[in-house]
Amino acid sequence: MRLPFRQPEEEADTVLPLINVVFLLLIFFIMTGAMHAVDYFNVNPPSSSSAIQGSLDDTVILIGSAGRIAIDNKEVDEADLQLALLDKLAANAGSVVRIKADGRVDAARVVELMELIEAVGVRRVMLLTLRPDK
Amino acid sequence: MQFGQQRPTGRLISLTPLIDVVFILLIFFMLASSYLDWRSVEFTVSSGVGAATSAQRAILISLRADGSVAVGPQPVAERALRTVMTAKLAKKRAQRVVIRSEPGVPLQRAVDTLDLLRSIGATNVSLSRKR
Repeated sequence: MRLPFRQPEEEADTVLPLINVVFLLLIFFIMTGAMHAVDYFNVNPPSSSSAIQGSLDDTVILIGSAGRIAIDNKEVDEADLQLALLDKLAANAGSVVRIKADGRVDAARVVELMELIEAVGVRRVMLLTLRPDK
Repeated sequence: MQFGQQRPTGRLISLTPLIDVVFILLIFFMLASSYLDWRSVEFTVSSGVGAATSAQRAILISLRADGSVAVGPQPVAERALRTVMTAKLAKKRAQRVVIRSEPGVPLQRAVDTLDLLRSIGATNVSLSRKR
């Protein structure tokens, strides 16, 4: 049995479902993804199972695997870090500082920087981690 | 002078440029958005003079650079740390615990130890470093 040959429909009728799907995907990616600035250098944060929900909203200090520090996408040394934090504290007293440190960096180095941060007067310091892949 | 009135066309714009733009937007959002699930651990450091006076009561966990662990002066196998600490924390959840890491201990190990202590109910854990 031969089916009758179908005449191709008008172009609009065939591409409309495609546009629908692409629009849906577009809306999905806009709604679910979070966009933020790229880090000054690459950091692989440690994974932790006990951590609570975190965000990247407050002041974030980057600590790279070689012990480099950056704040607000600017590489700094310890003295500059303290100055930058003092500026931030002057603007917003109860601010939270989040440390985004590489998992391979020396723990002692992170503790040393924490001491510097607390010496300036920051009260709450959080360590950013990722949920472990199971 | 009279302009001929334009008849409304069947389709106002061609669909192909629209699809192009939407595809480009789609690819942009796929590449630019990040799906990392950020978490944060609140932690404190015990440092300076304060540690010397209050460390008498605190349990000190030393992470050594060669991979070994000690609770107080006593070396403990990495796997036995959970049972040892559970026994020590059984009476007092608020017992202060200090994790002291030597230079050369990666942060991941300190965070893992912190996780372990939190999972057995320790509430007062702080980090310090060997001077």
